[in-house]
Amino acid sequence: MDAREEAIQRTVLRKARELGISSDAARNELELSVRANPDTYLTGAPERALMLLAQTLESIDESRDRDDYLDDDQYRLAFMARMGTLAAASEKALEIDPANLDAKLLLTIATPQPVDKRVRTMAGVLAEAEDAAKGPHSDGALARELGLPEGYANLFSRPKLRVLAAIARWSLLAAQPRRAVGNALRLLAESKDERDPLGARYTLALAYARLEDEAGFQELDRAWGHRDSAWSALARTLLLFKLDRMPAARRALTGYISVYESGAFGLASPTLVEPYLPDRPYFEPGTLDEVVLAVHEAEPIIVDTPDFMNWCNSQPNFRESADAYARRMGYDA
Amino acid sequence: MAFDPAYEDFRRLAIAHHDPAMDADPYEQTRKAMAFSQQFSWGNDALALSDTDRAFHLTCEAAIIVDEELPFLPESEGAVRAADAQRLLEEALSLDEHCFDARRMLHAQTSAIMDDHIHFLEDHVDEVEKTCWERADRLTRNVSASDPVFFERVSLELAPYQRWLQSTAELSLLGGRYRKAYDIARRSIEIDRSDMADSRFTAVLALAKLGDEDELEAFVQWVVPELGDAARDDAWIRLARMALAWQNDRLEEAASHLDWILAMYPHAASALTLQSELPEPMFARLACDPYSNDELVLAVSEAAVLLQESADESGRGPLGAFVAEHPGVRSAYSRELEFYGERGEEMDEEDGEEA
Repeated sequence: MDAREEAIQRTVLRKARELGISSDAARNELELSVRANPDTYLTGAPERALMLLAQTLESIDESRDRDDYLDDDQYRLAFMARMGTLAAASEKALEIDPANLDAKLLLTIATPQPVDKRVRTMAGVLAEAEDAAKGPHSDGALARELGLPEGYANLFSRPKLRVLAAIARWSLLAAQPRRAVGNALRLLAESKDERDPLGARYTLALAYARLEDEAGFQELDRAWGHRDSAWSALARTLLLFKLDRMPAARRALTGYISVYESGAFGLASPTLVEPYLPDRPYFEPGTLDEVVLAVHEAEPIIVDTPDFMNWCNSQPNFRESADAYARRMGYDA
Repeated sequence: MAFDPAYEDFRRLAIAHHDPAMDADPYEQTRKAMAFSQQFSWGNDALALSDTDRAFHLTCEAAIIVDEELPFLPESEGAVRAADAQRLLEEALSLDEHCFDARRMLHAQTSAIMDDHIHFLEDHVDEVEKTCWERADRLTRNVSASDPVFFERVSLELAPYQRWLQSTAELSLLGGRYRKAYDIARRSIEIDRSDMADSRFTAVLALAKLGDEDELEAFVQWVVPELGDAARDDAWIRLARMALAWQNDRLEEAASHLDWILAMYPHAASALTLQSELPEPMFARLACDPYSNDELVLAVSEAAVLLQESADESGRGPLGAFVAEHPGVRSAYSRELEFYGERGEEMDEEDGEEA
């Protein structure tokens, strides 16, 4: 999420309503002013809280630049320090705006706890937010008053959608794939955005593979096309492997490797990925970044299918492709 | 239920020694039966009258070594005994190329990759099915279907096929192929509704992995009434239901299944806390008494596919942690530890006296 941008956009919406601005030109003028002087304009508690989170997330992002110089113990300490910073900032944001959903979500992620408890806490946060949204002074009420559309296009709905996306993803990590499907489907329906900006389809594809739900997977495939993402390519390979349709699984793996030049490398050498804060980081489609995220999210399912990696490694071209990519990029294979 | 190699060997040899002409003379029949039992308990290798029975006898010896001895032997001794078992299996196969238990166990020992072994089992399953049925037909041709020998013979000849299927189902479950594990377990039950192979245990775990609650309940309705006297609730069904309830965030319901297990099985909390994983049996699932601690240990071990999914460094998955941390399990476990502790002291004292 781009918390800074959302804080600015939300401020523009609020101020425009206060000032009774309706023309586009005046609205653009207002936006320029807000951008130039955010401190002056960001007076609403929800926006101030959001800006605090934005600054914290930016500083956490910068602190990652130093990770490459750390040994394992130092890295663990650095990671814990980041989570501590995030928890403290989230609590502070909640002092400013006790209803701030992003702060609640980030606090849940930053607080060490068993993964299934984390999912349950998130579900609690979501239920609470849904009750609150019915109230007269909520973001929901403001959005209705402003006549904003439903779904992702509505800035005030995004925090809730992010919670849904997080529940779906963490459910997969918590070995609760059915729950992942339920929440991802709900996210897809409530986003009302055909681009699926929070990537519910990625989680869905993996959960369907884990559950060997071929009908569900095919429906998703029809809606998004066969070559949609590294998630769907990996999920298809896993699904066919699990269903023991080996020739088709082989073709799916070959397809994945040929579309993603870093695909074999990414699968053979998984990278440590920190928890998303709070949603999936931006990636350029087709790149190693995409592969790394997809492999990271598929990891629990790969581990649950013990012979899958053996099989991948024994397929023609898999090792070659992984090694070739590593050599080209100067990585250790 | 379950297959016990020694008992099956006994049944095979007993039926081979059974002489229908004796049936009219109960005294002579009893005398011969007792003489046979005695010879069997002495481990008389000459009891087998055919190469088929001899091959099966050797296979059973190997099965007892691999499944019942090896897990308790130190590595150095284990290697020697494993080689013994392998020799027995090879000899069995040389006597009877259709000794499918020997073929299956030998192949398992030589496959480094589980997937290769599963595919071997699948590639030959039709041949095994055909041969076992042919043998059953041939050996019962002159036996009336109402004769108890008829049923005994058929069940003995089909047992290797059932084990072949059950082993495929079990390995498919371990390999992450849940739909297949379920389908094969069902196939095994369809040929034997009394489910000698206990394939329903594998089936319910597979359905829990597939997250399919409706299918699980439909399956239980389908399978349990046909089990006859064995019809009962068991740890496998309860663990599967518990996993599904937990997955769908119905924690109280999940806990109620744990409470049932705690009430039904002795020292259940230790099994549920330690969640030990037993080695995969080569011959067949180890036979244990219903509602014994052994049975629960076995069920929990097989449920590792559920309990350890998404495990962290501790080796315990979220469901495994939920089970071990259930308040009922924790309090019962500390009581069990106390019990063992006191017993341990008593035993120490006894040792002391002896010394």
